Amino acid sequence: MSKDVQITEEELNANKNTQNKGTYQKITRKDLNKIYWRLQIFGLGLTSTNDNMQAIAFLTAMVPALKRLYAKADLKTRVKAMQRHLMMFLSQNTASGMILGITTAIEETTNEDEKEAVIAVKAGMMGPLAGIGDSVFKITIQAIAGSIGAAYALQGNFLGPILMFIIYNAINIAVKYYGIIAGYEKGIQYIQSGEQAKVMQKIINVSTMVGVIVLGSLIAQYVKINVGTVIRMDKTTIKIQKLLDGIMPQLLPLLFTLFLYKLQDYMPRKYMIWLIFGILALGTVLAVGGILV
Amino acid sequence: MSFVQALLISLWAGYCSYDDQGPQMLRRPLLVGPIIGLILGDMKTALIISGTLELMWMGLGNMAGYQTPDMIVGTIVGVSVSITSGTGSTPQGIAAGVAAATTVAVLVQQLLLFARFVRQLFEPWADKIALTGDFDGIMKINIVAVIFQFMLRAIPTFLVVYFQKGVVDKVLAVIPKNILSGLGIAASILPAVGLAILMTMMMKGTLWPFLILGFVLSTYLKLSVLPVTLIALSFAIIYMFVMEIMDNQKEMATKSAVTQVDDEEEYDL
Repeated sequence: MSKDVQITEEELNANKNTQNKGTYQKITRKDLNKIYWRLQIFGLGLTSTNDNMQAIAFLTAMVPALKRLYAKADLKTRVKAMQRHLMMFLSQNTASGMILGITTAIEETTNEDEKEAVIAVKAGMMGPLAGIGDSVFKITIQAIAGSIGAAYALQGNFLGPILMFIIYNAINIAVKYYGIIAGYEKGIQYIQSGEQAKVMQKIINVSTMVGVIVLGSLIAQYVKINVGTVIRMDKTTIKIQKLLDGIMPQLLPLLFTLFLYKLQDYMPRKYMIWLIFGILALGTVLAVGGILV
Repeated sequence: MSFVQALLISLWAGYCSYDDQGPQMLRRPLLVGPIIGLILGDMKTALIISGTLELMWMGLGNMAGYQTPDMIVGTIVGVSVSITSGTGSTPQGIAAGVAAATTVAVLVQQLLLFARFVRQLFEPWADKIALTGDFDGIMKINIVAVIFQFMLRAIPTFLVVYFQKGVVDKVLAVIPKNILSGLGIAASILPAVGLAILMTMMMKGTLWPFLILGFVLSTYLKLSVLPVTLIALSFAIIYMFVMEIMDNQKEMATKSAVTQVDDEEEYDL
């Protein structure tokens, strides 16, 4: 890979004009592409540890940029650069594209004595972007894509998984890739203008709204609770399920889901798996008894 | 199940294991499961069970460092159990698949804690590489990590899938028929769990009307997920624009109020 560091005549000339950048060479679009591929192939989780979390993965993704910037640097500077990016990092895969782009831009524009800024910006961005990444990608888009796909899959249609793959990954890849490019090109001005907070908030708001509406629809479609109990009085029989449907179709699924939602206030999430077993057991008993059909 | 099929399944498990920590393109049951159907030659069952598991585990995902039950091996074992035991996509087959998937998912969760311990060893290694100043050196750790991540799920999956032959059949033969069909009914309630978890993550204060809107669109108007999503999207964007206009108006109102005050002060002077 050492040939990647070769610098063309043109780039050297361009570099002479920007004296404030010291001995650095300018980052090219090719480097940004390499950063994207490293993020795409190795992700953040493969090398995550308990102390520095995803730092090794972050450094791995930064290497194309570091190689370009520190092509002619001495050992001490290179070691410092590596150690700087081995500091604690924890964010979300898709959203990290933007952090990588901005970090690259700041690495490029700062002098050796201002490198604290790199660490500060990284630390400042990883929290908020992890929040956005989790709520927008891991929860909302994944849930929407998954439920659209599941609707087809449950009918035995192979279109389901394909549709889910395309919806989720089109957004996933686009945000990762253009996050790096946009982060690099206008990253710093963007943070300083305070504009990004507004845009991010808008994205979160819209996707949460869509997510919640879809959630309501999913409860109606996929949670199935049917009461089989019949009350006999003299000659007339009353089907409980028919009574419930008269009040509102899918009333029990809605109430049960809301009950589980409220239950989580009193029960840590890690016990949810036991809840699944509990529902399976109780449901089986009720079904054998003929109360549920 | 033949040796080759078991091998193919374990290779797929290994790839998914890498993918879950790396590119994250196939982390969900619905994307993991159908390939098992392709390998074992029963796509319909695979699709139905993967779809059920997808809904059931909708809200589950590794967030903020908490290790959730392992959906990948769970899905793979669940799908292959219901295909190989011959119950297929009947309610009993789905129930058997869901029960097997959930049990295996919990067991593998413990295995992943071991993985965390092993990954801990990467840290001193990385520090050592950093001292050499060799940027490419860090790649070594990644390659080891990919291989480790691959083996982490490939090996146990092979053992479970290859040697479960007959075990599930015997278990299913012992359990009475009506209990199995009861289990099938119970399994159809389970999506509520995934959706409830999802709700705790999405519901914030004023969002109740939106939940009701989605519920009504599907109960009374019988719309499926795709049209609901499109309606929701246009609705949300319109809502956002309206809020923006209202914010702007408020801002203008406060601005004009300020200028009025200024005018009065000038007048007083």
